[in-house]
Amino acid sequence: MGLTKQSTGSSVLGFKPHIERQHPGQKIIALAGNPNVGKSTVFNSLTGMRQHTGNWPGKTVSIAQGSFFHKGVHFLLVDIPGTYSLMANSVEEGVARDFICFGDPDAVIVVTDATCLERNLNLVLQVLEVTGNVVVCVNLIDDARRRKIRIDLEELSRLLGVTVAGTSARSGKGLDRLMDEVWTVTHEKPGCCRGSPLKIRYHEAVESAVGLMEPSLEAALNKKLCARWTALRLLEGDENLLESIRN
Amino acid sequence: MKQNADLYMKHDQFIPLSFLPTGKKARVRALMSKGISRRRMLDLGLILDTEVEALQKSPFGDPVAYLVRGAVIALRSEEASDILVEAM
Repeated sequence: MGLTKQSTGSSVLGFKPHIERQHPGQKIIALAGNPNVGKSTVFNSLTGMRQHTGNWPGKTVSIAQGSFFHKGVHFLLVDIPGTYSLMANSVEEGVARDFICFGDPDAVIVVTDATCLERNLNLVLQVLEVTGNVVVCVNLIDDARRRKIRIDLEELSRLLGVTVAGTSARSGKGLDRLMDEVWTVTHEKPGCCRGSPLKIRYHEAVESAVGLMEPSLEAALNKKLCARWTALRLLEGDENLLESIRN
Repeated sequence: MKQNADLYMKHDQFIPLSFLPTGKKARVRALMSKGISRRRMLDLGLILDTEVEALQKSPFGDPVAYLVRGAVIALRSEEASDILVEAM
């Protein structure tokens, strides 16, 4: 795993994780999702034997990476730890948050469990606050069908404002379509506000505070991070984020 | 003062989730935990008004399986006792 000197520094938080592209045309995709949603199955099915596991520098969390070709494009899939949220309450969540926010992936696949979708949407919505380059993978569709649960993928996609693909990774179903969608997202990417992903609107007081902060943040961050997301995290009192931004 | 008495009365109807008998349902009324534990409860979907059902105790009585928003989660009694619920 290629790491820059600054990403292997001594500070546990506030470092910039950076996975280097093996060549310029390669697309880096973060694979996120709650624990136990079949994320590893999706990962293994897509990467086959071409994967290796490493450690996130300074932490005891293991990260698997694997590469494969789809429609002639070389993809590097990074299997980040399964988490319920990006609020960095644990080392795993911190690593997941750091990679999605600072690791500059070309797209994020959020794997969800069709049999328990509501709870999984917590992470989806948090990821959407960071970036619009997202494909939601609704996995375990066959298990859901067996339990008489039917998911309206089109409606979900319309509500979330991003593409939703249904899969049954264990039987290999839907993975091609999933990668087709990822291919599309990575080839039409103007930045964090691609398309019109669902933005949760908060209480008036929060929104006006964000409105005040956004212009200065946009200037300071220079498109590297979503200004709105940064404003919200700073309002929450996320000091680590402030440190990371300064570096 | 009457206001305070009302609040006290209200809280009297709330019990810690750890006291909810198996098979019974309740609604979340308050989270007493702070910091990371609180965050975890919120992330699992245990927010105000959420319906919870006590499903099953494990052999030693702890942890207990609860049905929350379509998902089954296991909570230790120390975690469950920090969640105040109102039996339905």
